[in-house]
Amino acid sequence: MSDDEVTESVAHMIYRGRLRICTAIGLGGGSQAKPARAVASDRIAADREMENLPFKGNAFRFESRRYRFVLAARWRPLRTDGDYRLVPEHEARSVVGRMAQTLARSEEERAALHGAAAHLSSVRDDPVGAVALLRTPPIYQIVVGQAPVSSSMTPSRVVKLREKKPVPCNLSFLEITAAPTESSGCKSVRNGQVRLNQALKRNQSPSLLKNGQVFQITANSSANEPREVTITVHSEASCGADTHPRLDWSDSEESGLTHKTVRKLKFFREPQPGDTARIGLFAMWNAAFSHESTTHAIVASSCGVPAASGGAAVASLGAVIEVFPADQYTAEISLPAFLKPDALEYSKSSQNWTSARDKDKEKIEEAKKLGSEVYEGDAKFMKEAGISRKDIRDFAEEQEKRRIGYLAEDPPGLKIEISQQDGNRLLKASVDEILNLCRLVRESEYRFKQLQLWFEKLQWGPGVGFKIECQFLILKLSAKWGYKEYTDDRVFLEYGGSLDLDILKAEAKISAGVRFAGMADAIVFISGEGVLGLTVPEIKKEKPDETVRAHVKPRGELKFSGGVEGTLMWVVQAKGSVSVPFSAETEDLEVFTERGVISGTVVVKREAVVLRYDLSMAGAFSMGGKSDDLVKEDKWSFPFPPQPVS
Amino acid sequence: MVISLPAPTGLLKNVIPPCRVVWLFVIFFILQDSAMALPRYIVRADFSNVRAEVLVNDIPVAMLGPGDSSPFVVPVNQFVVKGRNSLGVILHAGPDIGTADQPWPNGVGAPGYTGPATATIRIGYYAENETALGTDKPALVSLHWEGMATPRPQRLERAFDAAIEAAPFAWQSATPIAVVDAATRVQALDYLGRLHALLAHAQFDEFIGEQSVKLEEIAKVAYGVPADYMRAPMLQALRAHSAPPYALEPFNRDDIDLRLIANGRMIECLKRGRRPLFEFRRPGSDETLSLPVMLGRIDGRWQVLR
Repeated sequence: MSDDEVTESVAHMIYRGRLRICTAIGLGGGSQAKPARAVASDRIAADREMENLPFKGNAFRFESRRYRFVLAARWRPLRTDGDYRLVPEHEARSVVGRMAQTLARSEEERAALHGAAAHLSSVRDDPVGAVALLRTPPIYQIVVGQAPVSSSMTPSRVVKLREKKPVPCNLSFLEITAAPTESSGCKSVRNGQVRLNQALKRNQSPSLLKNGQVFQITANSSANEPREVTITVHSEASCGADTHPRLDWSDSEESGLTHKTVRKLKFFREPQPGDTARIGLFAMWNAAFSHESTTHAIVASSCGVPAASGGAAVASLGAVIEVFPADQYTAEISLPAFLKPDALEYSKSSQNWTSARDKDKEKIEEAKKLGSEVYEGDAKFMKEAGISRKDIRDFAEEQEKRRIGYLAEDPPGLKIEISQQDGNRLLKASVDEILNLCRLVRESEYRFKQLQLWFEKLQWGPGVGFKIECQFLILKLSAKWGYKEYTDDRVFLEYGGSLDLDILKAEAKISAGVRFAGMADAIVFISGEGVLGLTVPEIKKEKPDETVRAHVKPRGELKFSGGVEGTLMWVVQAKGSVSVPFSAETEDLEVFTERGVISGTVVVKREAVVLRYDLSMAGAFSMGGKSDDLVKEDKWSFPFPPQPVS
Repeated sequence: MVISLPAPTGLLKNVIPPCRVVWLFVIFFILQDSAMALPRYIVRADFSNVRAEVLVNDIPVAMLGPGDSSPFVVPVNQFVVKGRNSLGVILHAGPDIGTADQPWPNGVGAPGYTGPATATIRIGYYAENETALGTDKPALVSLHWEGMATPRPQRLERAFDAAIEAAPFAWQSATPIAVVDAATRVQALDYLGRLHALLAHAQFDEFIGEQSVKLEEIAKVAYGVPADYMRAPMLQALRAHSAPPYALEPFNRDDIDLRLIANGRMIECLKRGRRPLFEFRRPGSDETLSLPVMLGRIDGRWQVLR
């Protein structure tokens, strides 16, 4: 074989990819043998690093080349598949650095890429724990046959031949077009043009995108028509319809490559729990805040040979389509003051909460039986007191209803509507969780009304009595939220609403028997009314750059006050005011934020009261400087979402 | 009569809240015990930012200050007599009882004694199971004042009638004293000194014995309960507060402040600054036991009448 024939053959082999230009790296050659445990540890760390990298171990396009990260230890088998070759260490670090700037979609991915760059340097010494960057060879335009191959052609001349006669093949820009839909938010066509070296100027030119830019869209579930996005590759010149421009794409249905300049991509959002089964109120409530967006890489490539000399070579342009759910949520909740005594008598039949109600009925029946047993146990006394068996049974039934927070029917005025508009279909949340809330409220009401839970040394006797009315969580909330496309490349969470919450509204008139200083019977009179609440005025976030924070305003005051009166000859002279203060606090309460509509806990506290007093007995003697624990501290917590009451 | 009952336990507790069961017992016991206690005359004071000394028939029944809790109530059967009575108040009462109705611009607390103030004093008549704070009943008579707190005492008084069947109290027939002159003061102090000595020597039975008229009248005549109802807790309090670390305050004749009350029928005995005359104190603590004394002279002999 002559030199020319060898040259031609080598050139042909290079062109066909059978011969690679590759920096020789002695993988594993120079490393010291490591203990098996260390090797395994290194591999686990490297595996974890691979997981954090964009596209993980899969192929991806970058700057007109197809790249792939692999564990260095797994590189050797790939050497024979003919597609990939190892990127030299110094170049790989530079490439990965650029990837970190343009490809990383999050800080985690950026950090992973920087970590990979660090591990590239140890490929030579530590093939187990290192990460290798592979890429396909460039497609060299070696025009065989057009130029006469002289007998003096050498490999270097082959390269020169390639450089001398390039065929113009260059990208101009990559265009992304998203037509509006009913739920997309932006009413006009959104257009993004990805250009090389383009800086992002959202305010001035919202359609100009930098290379590798994420273009965010919203899409409905697969129960709807897909969201279509049109990708158009604009080329300055093409080397041939069969080769360039080339578009590597992926959407929610498939992925592939095409040499056509226009491709319509179809997207759906990720499935959500409420798509196939009715879910709880707060699951639906939080769906928008806990979802994970999906990303799809779009890469257009060409030879990168400008049509005119001196023009910029644009071999590759890329973008990432990020898909958010287009579902729009609305909530209208009205929890009325349904805790009035007559609210125990609900007459309407209901389709809701059947199983829970049945269980409740069993408990109520048990209580009634117990009431009968009580009657029979003290029948003689009961008869003398003029109390019938029915009185006792009814009383036991009523108490049990209160204790378990029995709800025979939706309380009048109760309105709970949580809906999720997923394109053409409307999903409704189950309101079972409101039962939890109602039960919690009822149970709290019951506990609030137990006088023996108020006073440390409660005694019963003439003059002792109480009337306590309380209503927890009188709530009015209206809210709307959902992801919306903005006029530029972004999607943002639009939200708005208002909240008016009476945490505790109470009225009390209490006369409680208390023994002071271990010897004096007295009656503590406490009365008053008030309300503790929160108000969140109407707010709305309509633009991505807006910082909208709900201003939660605590309002109201609830403090019962009164005096102390000794019985018979006792005189109690209290120091300071005799009062029982209540306070409302919030624990991690967030209302209308990017993290949720309402979350956290509302806590109502009854403060403990220690009474200081002087005590005297009709002038016979007087004891000064006394103090006694008067009122017990108590606390009621209302978490959002509400927890089941045991 | 107050009935104190334990909260129900066991089966009852699970089904019926204590109040329900207790009410049943209460009704039962009230029917049995209702004859024991007598209706009460109760003074109720609603006040704000005022020093007010409340008097019934010229006998001080309460001294109220800006730091005290309002409303304040005190039963006053032991000071109410059959027929004509008076309800009075000394607004801005001075720091010493001897000069309670004298201006005290340089007295203790005078500089801070200022600002809007109110006082409403009323007296009512209540059945044995009624309370002044818990019962909305019209007053027999009431006094109302509002103005500015100032160290210039002002006395208000109104009369009311009471229908009482019981025998008159001993203090009503005590020898009238026109003025606490030196001789009267010496006699009174001598008697008070003997009482103090009884306390100092822990002769509590004797001390209580010296007050037999007072205790008998208050318990049995005024409120319809046995005298032991008062004696027992009094003795209990004395024993509890007389042992160390409690100590009896010394008897200093020069520090004693006397004033005529009950229209000259009795003498109120305090230390200057309205401090109790007979007082056990616990050092380093606010806890005290004091034994109020109002003296009268009957048949030439000094006695503790209230």
